[in-house]
Amino acid sequence: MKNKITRRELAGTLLATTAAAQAPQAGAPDELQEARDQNRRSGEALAKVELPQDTEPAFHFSA
Amino acid sequence: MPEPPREIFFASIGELNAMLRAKEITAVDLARAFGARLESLGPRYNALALPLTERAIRQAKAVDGDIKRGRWRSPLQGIPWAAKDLLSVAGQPTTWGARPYAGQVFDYDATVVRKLEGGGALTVGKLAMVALAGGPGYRYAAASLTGPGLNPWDKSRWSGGSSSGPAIAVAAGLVPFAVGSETSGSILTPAAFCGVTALRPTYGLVSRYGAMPLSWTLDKLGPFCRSVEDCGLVLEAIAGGDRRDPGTSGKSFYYAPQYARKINDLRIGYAPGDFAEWPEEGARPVFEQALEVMRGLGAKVVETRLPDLPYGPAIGTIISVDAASVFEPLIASGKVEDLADRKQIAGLKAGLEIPALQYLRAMRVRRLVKQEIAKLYAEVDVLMAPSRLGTAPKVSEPLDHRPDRQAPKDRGLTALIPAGNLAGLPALALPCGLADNLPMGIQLVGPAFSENTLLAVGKEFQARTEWHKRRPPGVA
Repeated sequence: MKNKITRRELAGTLLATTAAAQAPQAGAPDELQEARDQNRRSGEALAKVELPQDTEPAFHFSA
Repeated sequence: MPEPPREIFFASIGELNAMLRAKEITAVDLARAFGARLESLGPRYNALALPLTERAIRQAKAVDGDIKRGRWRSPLQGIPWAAKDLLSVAGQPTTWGARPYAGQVFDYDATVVRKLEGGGALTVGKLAMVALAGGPGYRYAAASLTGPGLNPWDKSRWSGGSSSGPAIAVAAGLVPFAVGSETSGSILTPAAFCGVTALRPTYGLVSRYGAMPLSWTLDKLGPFCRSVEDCGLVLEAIAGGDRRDPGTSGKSFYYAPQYARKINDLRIGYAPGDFAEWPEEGARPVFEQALEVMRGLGAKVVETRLPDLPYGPAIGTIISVDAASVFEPLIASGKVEDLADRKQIAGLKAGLEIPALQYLRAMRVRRLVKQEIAKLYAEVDVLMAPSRLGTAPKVSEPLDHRPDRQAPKDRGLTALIPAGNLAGLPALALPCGLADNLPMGIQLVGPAFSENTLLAVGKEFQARTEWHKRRPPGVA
């Protein structure tokens, strides 16, 4: 049995632990689908605003 | 020299400056005392990202040399401070609160760091934050490399974010002041939950060079302090144009509340429902009392409300797309999976898919927001609303859990955080009382570059209240 662990092995172990901790569990919400749904709802809310045709986007933003 | 008195940990910048001038204390004493306190207490609240005590002591020795020779560079000379860990300090790790960036080191100082150190302030450390300043959303307080920010008023509660470390550090007396950032709520929320005074400056007043970008047209840097007065002093030191930040307005700021309009001449707009209906029940008397104090200042307090516009969807779309663009390499590399919060990971990925038309529509709606708010400021000079409607949530609770109760019909000014950020407006956060022994705060929001007006009103408010001087229980 090795007594020492290389930095590469340590990093691999840490990443594997993180991945295991974050693996979707049964019954856990589908986060990506929820985020997509949220973005779609935002788009729908924005689409309801009556915008005059000459309304320019607020690029080159200044307060 | 004997150990400095414990009162220094809750002294204002002005008080510490007076002690330095009277030679009752040295800059090295302050660097040592605050550095040691930040290192010992900071980790208890998950507030410390990186101690820089030795570096600060070296700076302090030079400052003491200047003071000995009678060279006074600024009111911040010899005053310790700490930076949210999205500001680069040359040669030191800058993690952005996120595991994928844990080893990141820049070879230059952020402009804010350079300006503060140029004025003689002593950088004693870097402070914890929600990963990637929270963009584009997260579910748990633990969405940070350093763990959840623990509230000094009750460690089972969240500190608020994304500037968790700056709010905790000021509330617990770990530093006299700190600098954090806001894209939408990241200064106002932790200031309210931790009971500290803070300022979100007008977009473009403070350079963001050397700060992590989250959203180029929304990001702002601002101070967390013990008082309104201190916010004015720090803002004066960090404001100003910078050719390395294309978003800067080129304007400077001089703290001069004495030249602001008389409070008797001001009209302060508020929405009654924001104080009497929207807040949690236990918080309503606190907010209503704050409203009474404001009335007592002599300003004309008038009813108003924000126009009905989709502030949340607009700012959400802009932040999601900007964040996906900023962190595209992180997402493409797969290292995004190393972030602590699954909702944040999903939000970053989903941001890549938002159609260009939706982003443009959000930016066009933003133009309307600016126009409509400009009309509002023809009728009032300052808008006032609760910063948050309830007390700090439990650390273990999901942050997107909504209370199961009917929302009042009139939205009043409840969308003032996204609306004010979309329009780039300055906001002053003021502690205004306790509910269930936890701090509550109000926000004052003015037109662009009206910081002196906000500070003048806030100063009068703090002259009549003591909430900004309250310490968390058990913090000596």
